[in-house]
Amino acid sequence: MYKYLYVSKNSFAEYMAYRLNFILWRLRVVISILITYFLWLAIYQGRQIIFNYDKQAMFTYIVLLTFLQGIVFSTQTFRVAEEINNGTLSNYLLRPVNFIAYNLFRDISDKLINTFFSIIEIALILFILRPDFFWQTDPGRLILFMAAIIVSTILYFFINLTLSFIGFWSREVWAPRFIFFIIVTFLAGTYFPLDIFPVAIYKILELLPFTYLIFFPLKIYLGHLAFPNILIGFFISFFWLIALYYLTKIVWHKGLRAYTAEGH
Amino acid sequence: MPTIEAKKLKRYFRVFRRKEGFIPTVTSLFKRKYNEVKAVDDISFSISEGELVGFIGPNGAGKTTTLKCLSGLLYPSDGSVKVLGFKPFERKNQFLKSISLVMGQKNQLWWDLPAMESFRLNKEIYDLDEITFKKNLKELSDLLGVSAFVNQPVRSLSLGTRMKMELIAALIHHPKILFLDEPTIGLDIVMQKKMRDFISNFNKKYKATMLLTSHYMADVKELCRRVIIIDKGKLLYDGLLEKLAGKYAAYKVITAHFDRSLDQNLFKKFGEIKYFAQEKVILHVKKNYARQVAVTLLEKLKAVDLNIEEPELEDIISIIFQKGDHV
Repeated sequence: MYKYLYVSKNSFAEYMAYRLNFILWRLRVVISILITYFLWLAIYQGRQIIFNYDKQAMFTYIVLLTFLQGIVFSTQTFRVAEEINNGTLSNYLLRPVNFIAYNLFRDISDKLINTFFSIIEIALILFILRPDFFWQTDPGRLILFMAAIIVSTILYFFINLTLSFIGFWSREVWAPRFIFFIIVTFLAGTYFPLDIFPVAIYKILELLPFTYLIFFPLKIYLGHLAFPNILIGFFISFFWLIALYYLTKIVWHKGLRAYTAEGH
Repeated sequence: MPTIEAKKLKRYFRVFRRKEGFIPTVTSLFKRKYNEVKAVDDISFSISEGELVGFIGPNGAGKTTTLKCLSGLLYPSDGSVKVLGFKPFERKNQFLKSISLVMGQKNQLWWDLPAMESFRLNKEIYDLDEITFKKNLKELSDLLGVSAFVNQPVRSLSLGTRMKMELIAALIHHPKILFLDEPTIGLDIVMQKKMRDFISNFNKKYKATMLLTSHYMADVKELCRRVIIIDKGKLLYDGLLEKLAGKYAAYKVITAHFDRSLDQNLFKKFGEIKYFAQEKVILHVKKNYARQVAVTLLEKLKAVDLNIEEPELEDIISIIFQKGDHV
Protein backbone atom coordinates (compact mmCIF):
# COMPACT_ATOMS: atom_id res chain seq x y z
CA MET A 1 0.00 0.00 0.00
CA TYR A 2 2.74 2.40 0.99
CA LYS A 3 4.36 1.97 -2.40
CA TYR A 4 1.34 3.51 -4.09
CA LEU A 5 1.40 6.47 -1.73
CA TYR A 6 4.99 6.93 -2.77
CA VAL A 7 3.78 7.07 -6.38
CA SER A 8 1.43 9.89 -5.38
CA LYS A 9 4.25 11.68 -3.64
CA ASN A 10 6.60 11.44 -6.62
CA SER A 11 3.87 12.44 -8.98
CA PHE A 12 3.24 15.49 -6.83
CA ALA A 13 6.90 16.46 -6.91
CA GLU A 14 6.95 15.96 -10.66
CA TYR A 15 3.97 18.24 -11.00
CA MET A 16 5.76 20.95 -9.15
CA ALA A 17 8.56 20.82 -11.69
CA TYR A 18 6.21 22.32 -14.26
CA ARG A 19 4.71 25.26 -12.46
CA LEU A 20 4.06 27.47 -15.46
CA ASN A 21 2.26 24.71 -17.27
CA PHE A 22 0.10 24.20 -14.24
CA ILE A 23 -0.68 27.89 -13.74
CA LEU A 24 -1.73 28.22 -17.38
CA TRP A 25 -3.93 25.17 -17.08
CA ARG A 26 -5.69 26.66 -14.06
CA LEU A 27 -6.03 29.95 -15.92
CA ARG A 28 -7.81 28.10 -18.70
CA VAL A 29 -10.24 26.66 -16.17
CA VAL A 30 -10.93 30.08 -14.63
CA ILE A 31 -11.52 31.65 -18.05
CA SER A 32 -13.93 28.92 -19.04
CA ILE A 33 -15.93 29.32 -15.86
CA LEU A 34 -16.07 33.10 -16.34
CA ILE A 35 -17.35 32.64 -19.89
CA THR A 36 -20.09 30.30 -18.69
CA TYR A 37 -20.93 32.65 -15.85
CA PHE A 38 -21.35 35.72 -18.03
CA LEU A 39 -23.22 33.75 -20.67
CA TRP A 40 -25.82 32.66 -18.15
CA LEU A 41 -25.89 36.12 -16.62
CA ALA A 42 -26.95 37.45 -20.02
CA ILE A 43 -29.52 34.71 -20.47
CA TYR A 44 -31.07 35.44 -17.10
CA GLN A 45 -31.42 39.13 -17.93
CA GLY A 46 -34.90 40.04 -16.79
CA ARG A 47 -35.92 36.43 -16.12
CA GLN A 48 -36.25 34.56 -12.91
CA ILE A 49 -36.45 30.93 -13.93
CA ILE A 50 -35.08 29.17 -16.98
CA PHE A 51 -35.59 25.44 -17.52
CA ASN A 52 -36.77 25.12 -13.93
CA TYR A 53 -33.52 26.58 -12.62
CA ASP A 54 -33.58 29.86 -10.79
CA LYS A 55 -30.55 32.10 -10.95
CA GLN A 56 -29.21 30.91 -7.62
CA ALA A 57 -29.37 27.23 -8.53
CA MET A 58 -27.82 27.83 -11.93
CA PHE A 59 -24.91 29.87 -10.58
CA THR A 60 -24.30 27.40 -7.81
CA TYR A 61 -24.23 24.70 -10.47
CA ILE A 62 -21.66 26.59 -12.53
CA VAL A 63 -19.41 27.43 -9.61
CA LEU A 64 -19.42 23.92 -8.16
CA LEU A 65 -18.73 22.58 -11.63
CA THR A 66 -15.20 23.95 -11.35
CA PHE A 67 -14.74 22.20 -8.07
CA LEU A 68 -15.99 18.89 -9.43
CA GLN A 69 -13.97 19.09 -12.60
CA GLY A 70 -10.85 19.52 -10.50
CA ILE A 71 -11.58 16.29 -8.68
CA VAL A 72 -13.25 14.16 -11.31
CA PHE A 73 -11.69 15.18 -14.60
CA SER A 74 -8.05 15.80 -13.69
CA THR A 75 -6.07 12.76 -14.70
CA GLN A 76 -2.75 11.53 -15.97
CA THR A 77 -4.18 8.48 -17.67
CA PHE A 78 -3.72 10.00 -21.13
CA ARG A 79 -0.06 9.20 -20.60
CA VAL A 80 -0.87 5.51 -20.56
CA ALA A 81 -1.57 5.36 -24.30
CA GLU A 82 1.74 7.05 -24.92
CA GLU A 83 3.48 4.64 -22.58
CA ILE A 84 1.99 1.70 -24.41
CA ASN A 85 2.99 3.02 -27.80
CA ASN A 86 6.56 3.93 -26.98
CA GLY A 87 7.13 0.86 -24.86
CA THR A 88 7.72 2.55 -21.50
CA LEU A 89 4.83 0.48 -20.21
CA SER A 90 7.42 -2.27 -19.90
CA ASN A 91 8.89 -0.44 -16.92
CA TYR A 92 5.71 -1.07 -14.97
CA LEU A 93 5.21 -4.60 -16.21
CA LEU A 94 8.65 -5.63 -15.04
CA ARG A 95 8.06 -4.55 -11.49
CA PRO A 96 5.69 -6.04 -8.93
CA VAL A 97 3.13 -3.25 -9.12
CA ASN A 98 -0.52 -3.28 -9.97
CA PHE A 99 -0.67 -0.98 -12.97
CA ILE A 100 -4.26 0.08 -12.37
CA ALA A 101 -3.54 0.98 -8.75
CA TYR A 102 -0.33 2.72 -9.83
CA ASN A 103 -2.34 4.94 -12.14
CA LEU A 104 -5.01 5.63 -9.60
CA PHE A 105 -2.44 6.88 -7.13
CA ARG A 106 -0.63 8.86 -9.78
CA ASP A 107 -3.97 10.53 -10.43
CA ILE A 108 -4.65 11.21 -6.80
CA SER A 109 -1.89 13.78 -6.49
CA ASP A 110 -3.15 15.37 -9.67
CA LYS A 111 -6.62 15.56 -8.20
CA LEU A 112 -5.44 16.91 -4.87
CA ILE A 113 -3.51 19.72 -6.47
CA ASN A 114 -6.31 20.64 -8.83
CA THR A 115 -8.91 20.51 -6.08
CA PHE A 116 -6.81 22.69 -3.82
CA PHE A 117 -6.50 25.34 -6.50
CA SER A 118 -10.10 25.10 -7.58
CA ILE A 119 -11.16 25.87 -4.01
CA ILE A 120 -9.03 29.00 -4.02
CA GLU A 121 -10.46 30.00 -7.39
CA ILE A 122 -14.01 29.43 -6.24
CA ALA A 123 -13.37 31.52 -3.14
CA LEU A 124 -12.07 34.32 -5.35
CA ILE A 125 -14.99 34.06 -7.76
CA LEU A 126 -17.49 34.12 -4.91
CA PHE A 127 -15.69 37.06 -3.36
CA ILE A 128 -15.28 39.17 -6.50
CA LEU A 129 -18.40 38.41 -8.56
CA ARG A 130 -20.65 37.75 -5.58
CA PRO A 131 -23.03 35.47 -7.48
CA ASP A 132 -26.13 34.26 -5.71
CA PHE A 133 -24.68 31.07 -4.20
CA PHE A 134 -26.67 28.34 -2.50
CA TRP A 135 -25.08 26.91 0.64
CA GLN A 136 -26.25 23.39 1.35
CA THR A 137 -26.44 22.95 5.09
CA ASP A 138 -28.05 19.52 5.46
CA PRO A 139 -25.20 17.24 6.62
CA GLY A 140 -26.93 14.18 5.15
CA ARG A 141 -26.95 15.69 1.68
CA LEU A 142 -23.39 16.92 2.03
CA ILE A 143 -22.23 13.41 2.91
CA LEU A 144 -24.14 11.95 -0.04
CA PHE A 145 -22.64 14.67 -2.24
CA MET A 146 -19.12 13.61 -1.17
CA ALA A 147 -19.93 9.94 -1.69
CA ALA A 148 -21.25 10.66 -5.18
CA ILE A 149 -18.04 12.53 -6.00
CA ILE A 150 -15.91 9.57 -4.97
CA VAL A 151 -17.99 7.24 -7.12
CA SER A 152 -17.84 9.57 -10.10
CA THR A 153 -14.09 9.98 -9.75
CA ILE A 154 -13.54 6.26 -9.93
CA LEU A 155 -16.04 5.92 -12.79
CA TYR A 156 -14.20 8.52 -14.82
CA PHE A 157 -10.87 6.90 -13.99
CA PHE A 158 -11.98 3.56 -15.41
CA ILE A 159 -13.50 5.15 -18.51
CA ASN A 160 -10.26 7.02 -19.19
CA LEU A 161 -7.98 4.12 -18.52
CA THR A 162 -9.96 1.87 -20.85
CA LEU A 163 -9.79 4.54 -23.54
CA SER A 164 -6.04 4.74 -23.13
CA PHE A 165 -5.78 1.00 -23.55
CA ILE A 166 -6.80 1.52 -27.19
CA GLY A 167 -3.08 2.14 -27.49
CA PHE A 168 -2.54 -1.61 -27.40
CA TRP A 169 -4.21 -1.96 -30.79
CA SER A 170 -3.76 1.38 -32.43
CA ARG A 171 -1.25 4.17 -32.45
CA GLU A 172 -4.05 6.65 -33.07
CA VAL A 173 -5.41 7.19 -29.60
CA TRP A 174 -5.56 10.92 -29.53
CA ALA A 175 -8.52 11.40 -31.87
CA PRO A 176 -10.93 8.90 -30.28
CA ARG A 177 -9.99 10.26 -26.88
CA PHE A 178 -10.66 13.81 -27.91
CA ILE A 179 -14.06 13.03 -29.41
CA PHE A 180 -14.95 10.93 -26.44
CA PHE A 181 -13.92 13.68 -24.05
CA ILE A 182 -16.21 16.15 -25.77
CA ILE A 183 -19.12 13.73 -25.69
CA VAL A 184 -18.49 12.82 -22.07
CA THR A 185 -18.23 16.39 -20.85
CA PHE A 186 -21.42 17.16 -22.70
CA LEU A 187 -23.31 14.14 -21.39
CA ALA A 188 -21.96 14.64 -17.89
CA GLY A 189 -23.59 18.03 -17.71
CA THR A 190 -20.62 20.36 -17.84
CA TYR A 191 -22.14 22.63 -20.46
CA PHE A 192 -25.57 22.84 -18.88
CA PRO A 193 -27.67 20.79 -16.45
CA LEU A 194 -28.97 17.64 -18.09
CA ASP A 195 -32.62 18.06 -17.05
CA ILE A 196 -32.84 20.85 -19.60
CA PHE A 197 -33.23 18.04 -22.11
CA PRO A 198 -36.72 16.73 -22.95
CA VAL A 199 -37.85 14.13 -20.44
CA ALA A 200 -37.55 11.22 -22.87
CA ILE A 201 -33.88 11.96 -23.56
CA TYR A 202 -33.18 12.69 -19.93
CA LYS A 203 -34.58 9.29 -18.99
CA ILE A 204 -32.07 7.64 -21.30
CA LEU A 205 -29.22 9.78 -20.00
CA GLU A 206 -30.07 8.68 -16.49
CA LEU A 207 -29.12 5.14 -17.44
CA LEU A 208 -25.70 6.11 -18.81
CA PRO A 209 -22.65 6.37 -16.56
CA PHE A 210 -21.78 9.91 -17.72
CA THR A 211 -24.70 11.48 -15.90
CA TYR A 212 -23.12 10.39 -12.64
CA LEU A 213 -19.83 12.13 -13.28
CA ILE A 214 -20.96 15.70 -12.71
CA PHE A 215 -24.70 16.17 -12.92
CA PHE A 216 -25.76 13.67 -10.27
CA PRO A 217 -23.51 14.92 -7.45
CA LEU A 218 -24.47 18.51 -8.20
CA LYS A 219 -28.16 17.70 -8.10
CA ILE A 220 -27.68 16.12 -4.70
CA TYR A 221 -25.96 19.25 -3.47
CA LEU A 222 -28.66 21.50 -4.85
CA GLY A 223 -31.26 19.42 -3.04
CA HIS A 224 -33.23 18.80 -6.21
CA LEU A 225 -33.37 15.05 -5.76
CA ALA A 226 -35.62 13.21 -3.36
CA PHE A 227 -33.98 10.42 -1.38
CA PRO A 228 -35.51 7.55 -3.37
CA ASN A 229 -34.12 9.15 -6.54
CA ILE A 230 -30.73 9.51 -4.93
CA LEU A 231 -30.86 5.85 -4.03
CA ILE A 232 -31.68 4.85 -7.59
CA GLY A 233 -28.87 7.08 -8.82
CA PHE A 234 -26.38 5.40 -6.54
CA PHE A 235 -27.66 2.03 -7.60
CA ILE A 236 -27.11 2.79 -11.29
CA SER A 237 -23.70 4.32 -10.71
CA PHE A 238 -22.61 1.33 -8.62
CA PHE A 239 -23.71 -0.91 -11.43
CA TRP A 240 -21.53 1.06 -13.85
CA LEU A 241 -18.68 1.11 -11.39
CA ILE A 242 -18.59 -2.67 -11.27
CA ALA A 243 -19.20 -3.06 -15.00
CA LEU A 244 -16.44 -0.61 -15.90
CA TYR A 245 -14.05 -2.16 -13.42
CA TYR A 246 -14.41 -5.51 -15.12
CA LEU A 247 -14.29 -3.95 -18.56
CA THR A 248 -11.04 -2.20 -17.66
CA LYS A 249 -9.56 -5.43 -16.36
CA ILE A 250 -10.62 -7.44 -19.40
CA VAL A 251 -9.32 -4.86 -21.85
CA TRP A 252 -6.07 -4.65 -19.87
CA HIS A 253 -5.50 -8.39 -20.01
CA LYS A 254 -6.44 -8.61 -23.68
CA GLY A 255 -4.19 -5.66 -24.35
CA LEU A 256 -1.21 -7.25 -22.64
CA ARG A 257 -1.47 -10.19 -24.99
CA ALA A 258 -1.31 -7.83 -27.92
CA TYR A 259 1.45 -5.74 -26.36
CA THR A 260 4.63 -5.75 -28.41
CA ALA A 261 6.92 -3.71 -26.15
CA GLU A 262 8.03 -1.78 -29.20
CA GLY A 263 10.86 0.66 -29.22
CA HIS A 264 12.60 -1.01 -26.33
CA MET B 1 15.07 -27.89 -12.20
CA PRO B 2 16.68 -25.43 -14.61
CA THR B 3 16.34 -21.78 -13.62
CA ILE B 4 15.34 -20.70 -17.09
CA GLU B 5 13.71 -23.00 -19.56
CA ALA B 6 12.33 -22.32 -23.01
CA LYS B 7 10.64 -25.09 -24.93
CA LYS B 8 9.78 -24.66 -28.58
CA LEU B 9 9.27 -20.99 -27.93
CA LYS B 10 7.66 -19.07 -30.76
CA ARG B 11 6.71 -15.45 -31.02
CA TYR B 12 5.24 -14.10 -34.23
CA PHE B 13 4.35 -10.49 -34.93
CA ARG B 14 1.82 -9.15 -37.33
CA VAL B 15 3.34 -6.21 -39.12
CA PHE B 16 1.33 -3.73 -41.08
CA ARG B 17 2.67 -3.47 -44.60
CA ARG B 18 2.60 -0.01 -46.02
CA LYS B 19 3.29 0.86 -49.61
CA GLU B 20 4.73 4.15 -50.73
CA GLY B 21 2.77 6.81 -52.52
CA PHE B 22 -0.42 8.72 -51.96
CA ILE B 23 -3.05 6.32 -53.28
CA PRO B 24 -1.78 3.25 -51.43
CA THR B 25 -1.69 5.39 -48.26
CA VAL B 26 -5.35 6.30 -48.70
CA THR B 27 -6.47 2.78 -49.56
CA SER B 28 -4.57 1.51 -46.54
CA LEU B 29 -7.07 3.40 -44.41
CA PHE B 30 -9.69 0.89 -45.44
CA LYS B 31 -7.83 -2.24 -46.23
CA ARG B 32 -4.65 -3.23 -44.56
CA LYS B 33 -2.27 -5.97 -45.39
CA TYR B 34 -0.28 -7.61 -42.73
CA ASN B 35 2.85 -9.66 -42.85
CA GLU B 36 3.68 -12.24 -40.28
CA VAL B 37 7.17 -11.89 -38.89
CA LYS B 38 8.60 -14.88 -37.11
CA ALA B 39 10.72 -13.07 -34.56
CA VAL B 40 11.34 -16.20 -32.52
CA ASP B 41 10.68 -19.46 -34.25
CA ASP B 42 10.89 -22.65 -32.24
CA ILE B 43 13.73 -22.08 -29.83
CA SER B 44 14.54 -24.36 -26.90
CA PHE B 45 17.24 -24.01 -24.28
CA SER B 46 17.70 -24.20 -20.57
CA ILE B 47 19.95 -22.35 -18.19
CA SER B 48 20.93 -23.39 -14.68
CA GLU B 49 21.37 -21.27 -11.61
CA GLY B 50 24.36 -18.96 -11.58
CA GLU B 51 25.17 -19.37 -15.26
CA LEU B 52 26.16 -16.34 -17.31
CA VAL B 53 25.13 -17.04 -20.87
CA GLY B 54 25.83 -14.89 -23.91
CA PHE B 55 23.05 -14.49 -26.40
CA ILE B 56 24.36 -13.64 -29.82
CA GLY B 57 22.78 -12.81 -33.12
CA PRO B 58 22.65 -10.07 -35.73
CA ASN B 59 20.07 -7.28 -35.59
CA GLY B 60 16.58 -8.67 -35.80
CA ALA B 61 17.67 -12.19 -34.89
CA GLY B 62 15.09 -12.39 -32.11
CA LYS B 63 17.33 -11.88 -29.09
CA THR B 64 15.37 -9.05 -27.53
CA THR B 65 12.07 -10.74 -28.29
CA THR B 66 13.28 -13.85 -26.47
CA LEU B 67 14.36 -11.77 -23.47
CA LYS B 68 10.97 -10.07 -23.46
CA CYS B 69 9.22 -13.44 -23.44
CA LEU B 70 11.43 -14.61 -20.59
CA SER B 71 10.76 -11.51 -18.52
CA GLY B 72 7.00 -11.64 -19.00
CA LEU B 73 6.54 -8.65 -21.29
CA LEU B 74 5.45 -10.64 -24.27
CA TYR B 75 2.94 -13.40 -24.53
CA PRO B 76 4.52 -16.33 -26.39
CA SER B 77 2.71 -17.26 -29.60
CA ASP B 78 3.48 -20.89 -28.93
CA GLY B 79 5.68 -23.12 -26.82
CA SER B 80 6.42 -22.65 -23.16
CA VAL B 81 8.72 -20.62 -20.98
CA LYS B 82 9.49 -21.27 -17.34
CA VAL B 83 11.59 -19.02 -15.18
CA LEU B 84 12.18 -20.11 -11.57
CA GLY B 85 9.19 -22.35 -12.11
CA PHE B 86 6.93 -19.41 -12.97
CA LYS B 87 5.26 -18.69 -16.25
CA PRO B 88 6.67 -15.22 -16.87
CA PHE B 89 3.59 -13.81 -18.59
CA GLU B 90 1.47 -14.39 -15.49
CA ARG B 91 3.67 -11.77 -13.84
CA LYS B 92 3.32 -13.10 -10.29
CA ASN B 93 4.80 -10.73 -7.74
CA GLN B 94 7.16 -13.40 -6.49
CA PHE B 95 8.52 -13.80 -10.01
CA LEU B 96 8.83 -10.07 -10.70
CA LYS B 97 10.69 -9.56 -7.44
CA SER B 98 13.34 -12.05 -8.56
CA ILE B 99 14.09 -10.72 -12.02
CA SER B 100 15.27 -7.64 -13.79
CA LEU B 101 15.54 -6.70 -17.42
CA VAL B 102 18.23 -4.18 -18.17
CA MET B 103 18.08 -2.50 -21.53
CA GLY B 104 20.43 0.04 -22.97
CA GLN B 105 17.65 2.43 -23.90
CA LYS B 106 15.25 1.76 -21.08
CA ASN B 107 14.10 4.48 -18.75
CA GLN B 108 12.18 3.84 -15.59
CA LEU B 109 13.52 6.87 -13.73
CA TRP B 110 11.27 9.85 -13.13
CA TRP B 111 12.68 12.38 -15.54
CA ASP B 112 12.12 15.51 -13.48
CA LEU B 113 13.03 14.12 -10.09
CA PRO B 114 16.35 13.14 -8.55
CA ALA B 115 17.22 9.50 -9.20
CA MET B 116 17.00 8.95 -5.45
CA GLU B 117 13.22 9.37 -5.60
CA SER B 118 12.96 6.60 -8.18
CA PHE B 119 15.20 4.36 -6.08
CA ARG B 120 13.06 5.01 -3.02
CA LEU B 121 9.94 4.13 -4.97
CA ASN B 122 11.58 0.88 -6.01
CA LYS B 123 12.50 0.25 -2.39
CA GLU B 124 8.78 0.32 -1.62
CA ILE B 125 7.82 -1.67 -4.69
CA TYR B 126 10.29 -4.43 -3.92
CA ASP B 127 9.60 -4.38 -0.17
CA LEU B 128 13.19 -3.72 0.82
CA ASP B 129 13.90 -2.74 4.38
CA GLU B 130 15.83 0.44 4.98
CA ILE B 131 19.10 -1.33 5.85
CA THR B 132 19.13 -3.57 2.78
CA PHE B 133 18.16 -0.64 0.60
CA LYS B 134 20.95 1.57 1.92
CA LYS B 135 23.47 -1.22 1.66
CA ASN B 136 22.53 -2.14 -1.92
CA LEU B 137 22.36 1.46 -2.99
CA LYS B 138 25.73 2.30 -1.53
CA GLU B 139 27.34 -0.72 -3.07
CA LEU B 140 25.90 -0.08 -6.52
CA SER B 141 26.48 3.65 -6.60
CA ASP B 142 30.04 3.33 -5.31
CA LEU B 143 30.81 0.64 -7.81
CA LEU B 144 29.46 2.70 -10.67
CA GLY B 145 30.91 5.91 -9.27
CA VAL B 146 27.72 7.95 -9.25
CA SER B 147 27.12 8.53 -5.52
CA ALA B 148 27.51 12.28 -6.01
CA PHE B 149 24.67 12.53 -8.52
CA VAL B 150 21.80 10.68 -6.87
CA ASN B 151 20.17 13.88 -5.67
CA GLN B 152 20.23 15.67 -9.02
CA PRO B 153 17.19 15.71 -11.28
CA VAL B 154 17.61 12.94 -13.82
CA ARG B 155 17.10 15.24 -16.78
CA SER B 156 20.24 17.18 -15.85
CA LEU B 157 22.48 14.09 -15.89
CA SER B 158 24.75 13.07 -18.74
CA LEU B 159 23.77 10.06 -20.81
CA GLY B 160 26.38 7.81 -19.22
CA THR B 161 25.45 8.80 -15.68
CA ARG B 162 21.80 8.35 -16.45
CA MET B 163 22.38 4.85 -17.74
CA LYS B 164 24.25 3.98 -14.57
CA MET B 165 21.30 5.30 -12.56
CA GLU B 166 18.97 3.14 -14.63
CA LEU B 167 21.17 0.19 -13.84
CA ILE B 168 21.04 0.94 -10.11
CA ALA B 169 17.25 1.18 -10.27
CA ALA B 170 17.13 -2.16 -12.06
CA LEU B 171 19.43 -3.92 -9.59
CA ILE B 172 18.51 -2.34 -6.28
CA HIS B 173 16.49 -5.41 -5.31
CA HIS B 174 19.34 -7.80 -6.15
CA PRO B 175 17.47 -9.92 -8.69
CA LYS B 176 18.24 -13.62 -8.86
CA ILE B 177 17.85 -13.47 -12.60
CA LEU B 178 19.11 -10.75 -14.84
CA PHE B 179 18.36 -10.23 -18.48
CA LEU B 180 20.84 -7.81 -19.94
CA ASP B 181 20.06 -6.42 -23.36
CA GLU B 182 23.03 -4.57 -24.80
CA PRO B 183 24.20 -3.34 -21.42
CA THR B 184 27.28 -1.63 -22.81
CA ILE B 185 25.68 0.10 -25.78
CA GLY B 186 26.61 3.75 -26.03
CA LEU B 187 29.24 3.59 -23.32
CA ASP B 188 32.84 4.63 -23.83
CA ILE B 189 35.62 2.04 -23.76
CA VAL B 190 36.57 2.65 -20.14
CA MET B 191 32.99 2.44 -19.03
CA GLN B 192 32.37 -0.68 -21.10
CA LYS B 193 35.21 -2.35 -19.25
CA LYS B 194 33.84 -1.20 -15.91
CA MET B 195 30.40 -2.45 -16.80
CA ARG B 196 31.80 -5.85 -17.72
CA ASP B 197 33.66 -6.11 -14.44
CA PHE B 198 30.51 -5.12 -12.67
CA ILE B 199 28.40 -7.76 -14.42
CA SER B 200 31.01 -10.43 -13.77
CA ASN B 201 31.19 -9.48 -10.09
CA PHE B 202 27.47 -9.41 -9.66
CA ASN B 203 27.23 -12.85 -11.21
CA LYS B 204 29.86 -14.35 -8.92
CA LYS B 205 28.97 -12.55 -5.75
CA TYR B 206 25.23 -13.15 -5.80
CA LYS B 207 25.13 -16.32 -7.90
CA ALA B 208 22.79 -14.45 -10.19
CA THR B 209 21.70 -16.21 -13.35
CA MET B 210 22.30 -13.97 -16.32
CA LEU B 211 21.45 -13.92 -19.96
CA LEU B 212 23.27 -11.23 -21.88
CA THR B 213 22.99 -9.96 -25.42
CA SER B 214 25.61 -7.79 -26.94
CA HIS B 215 26.99 -6.63 -30.23
CA TYR B 216 30.39 -6.22 -28.70
CA MET B 217 32.14 -9.55 -28.90
CA ALA B 218 34.51 -8.28 -26.23
CA ASP B 219 31.60 -8.42 -23.78
CA VAL B 220 30.82 -11.99 -24.65
CA LYS B 221 34.43 -13.15 -24.77
CA GLU B 222 35.21 -11.75 -21.40
CA LEU B 223 32.05 -12.72 -19.60
CA CYS B 224 30.47 -15.85 -20.96
CA ARG B 225 31.61 -19.44 -20.99
CA ARG B 226 28.50 -20.51 -22.76
CA VAL B 227 26.82 -18.87 -25.74
CA ILE B 228 23.54 -19.29 -27.51
CA ILE B 229 23.55 -18.10 -31.09
CA ILE B 230 20.36 -17.35 -32.95
CA ASP B 231 19.56 -15.92 -36.33
CA LYS B 232 16.22 -15.23 -38.02
CA GLY B 233 14.46 -16.61 -34.98
CA LYS B 234 16.20 -19.99 -35.13
CA LEU B 235 18.74 -21.41 -32.77
CA LEU B 236 22.07 -22.04 -34.46
CA TYR B 237 24.41 -22.97 -31.63
CA ASP B 238 24.17 -23.62 -27.93
CA GLY B 239 27.33 -24.59 -26.16
CA LEU B 240 30.70 -23.56 -24.82
CA LEU B 241 32.30 -20.53 -26.35
CA GLU B 242 35.67 -22.26 -26.63
CA LYS B 243 34.20 -25.05 -28.72
CA LEU B 244 32.67 -22.65 -31.17
CA ALA B 245 35.83 -22.22 -33.20
CA GLY B 246 36.42 -25.94 -33.38
CA LYS B 247 32.97 -26.46 -34.72
CA TYR B 248 32.56 -23.70 -37.22
CA ALA B 249 35.91 -22.32 -38.26
CA ALA B 250 37.61 -24.50 -40.85
CA TYR B 251 40.90 -22.69 -40.47
CA LYS B 252 43.48 -21.61 -37.94
CA VAL B 253 45.37 -18.37 -37.79
CA ILE B 254 49.13 -18.69 -38.05
CA THR B 255 51.32 -15.69 -37.35
CA ALA B 256 54.99 -15.99 -38.22
CA HIS B 257 57.94 -13.60 -37.76
CA PHE B 258 61.17 -13.75 -39.69
CA ASP B 259 64.53 -12.13 -39.21
CA ARG B 260 64.70 -11.20 -42.88
CA SER B 261 62.37 -9.98 -45.64
CA LEU B 262 60.72 -12.71 -47.67
CA ASP B 263 58.74 -12.71 -50.85
CA GLN B 264 54.98 -12.74 -50.39
CA ASN B 265 54.58 -15.34 -53.11
CA LEU B 266 56.35 -17.88 -50.95
CA PHE B 267 53.31 -18.12 -48.69
CA LYS B 268 50.55 -18.38 -51.27
CA LYS B 269 50.51 -22.16 -51.31
CA PHE B 270 49.96 -22.42 -47.53
CA GLY B 271 46.63 -20.66 -47.38
CA GLU B 272 45.04 -17.27 -47.42
CA ILE B 273 47.39 -14.40 -46.67
CA LYS B 274 45.65 -12.04 -44.32
CA TYR B 275 48.53 -9.75 -43.57
CA PHE B 276 51.98 -9.32 -44.99
CA ALA B 277 54.75 -6.93 -44.05
CA GLN B 278 58.36 -7.59 -44.75
CA GLU B 279 59.14 -9.72 -41.72
CA LYS B 280 55.70 -10.75 -40.55
CA VAL B 281 52.92 -12.77 -42.09
CA ILE B 282 49.46 -13.78 -40.91
CA LEU B 283 47.89 -16.76 -42.64
CA HIS B 284 44.53 -18.46 -42.52
CA VAL B 285 45.38 -22.11 -42.94
CA LYS B 286 43.01 -25.04 -43.26
CA LYS B 287 42.81 -26.83 -39.94
CA ASN B 288 44.23 -30.11 -41.19
CA TYR B 289 47.27 -28.47 -42.65
CA ALA B 290 48.00 -26.15 -39.76
CA ARG B 291 50.55 -28.40 -38.14
CA GLN B 292 52.29 -29.21 -41.37
CA VAL B 293 52.42 -25.55 -42.43
CA ALA B 294 53.81 -24.58 -39.07
CA VAL B 295 56.59 -27.13 -39.40
CA THR B 296 57.42 -25.93 -42.89
CA LEU B 297 57.49 -22.32 -41.77
CA LEU B 298 59.80 -23.11 -38.91
CA GLU B 299 62.16 -25.51 -40.64
CA LYS B 300 62.27 -24.44 -44.27
CA LEU B 301 61.69 -20.73 -43.95
CA LYS B 302 63.39 -20.40 -40.58
CA ALA B 303 60.68 -18.46 -38.82
CA VAL B 304 61.99 -16.99 -35.56
CA ASP B 305 58.62 -16.85 -33.91
CA LEU B 306 55.38 -18.64 -34.67
CA ASN B 307 51.93 -18.65 -33.24
CA ILE B 308 48.88 -20.82 -34.01
CA GLU B 309 45.52 -19.49 -32.86
CA GLU B 310 41.83 -20.02 -33.28
CA PRO B 311 40.18 -17.31 -35.36
CA GLU B 312 38.73 -14.22 -33.67
CA LEU B 313 35.24 -14.62 -32.28
CA GLU B 314 33.95 -11.92 -34.63
CA ASP B 315 35.16 -13.93 -37.60
CA ILE B 316 33.60 -17.16 -36.40
CA ILE B 317 30.32 -15.43 -35.77
CA SER B 318 30.25 -13.93 -39.23
CA ILE B 319 31.00 -17.35 -40.71
CA ILE B 320 28.05 -18.78 -38.84
CA PHE B 321 25.71 -16.04 -39.95
CA GLN B 322 26.84 -16.28 -43.55
CA LYS B 323 26.00 -19.94 -43.55
CA GLY B 324 22.64 -19.01 -42.06
CA ASP B 325 20.10 -21.79 -41.95
CA HIS B 326 22.39 -24.41 -43.39
CA VAL B 327 24.29 -24.94 -40.17
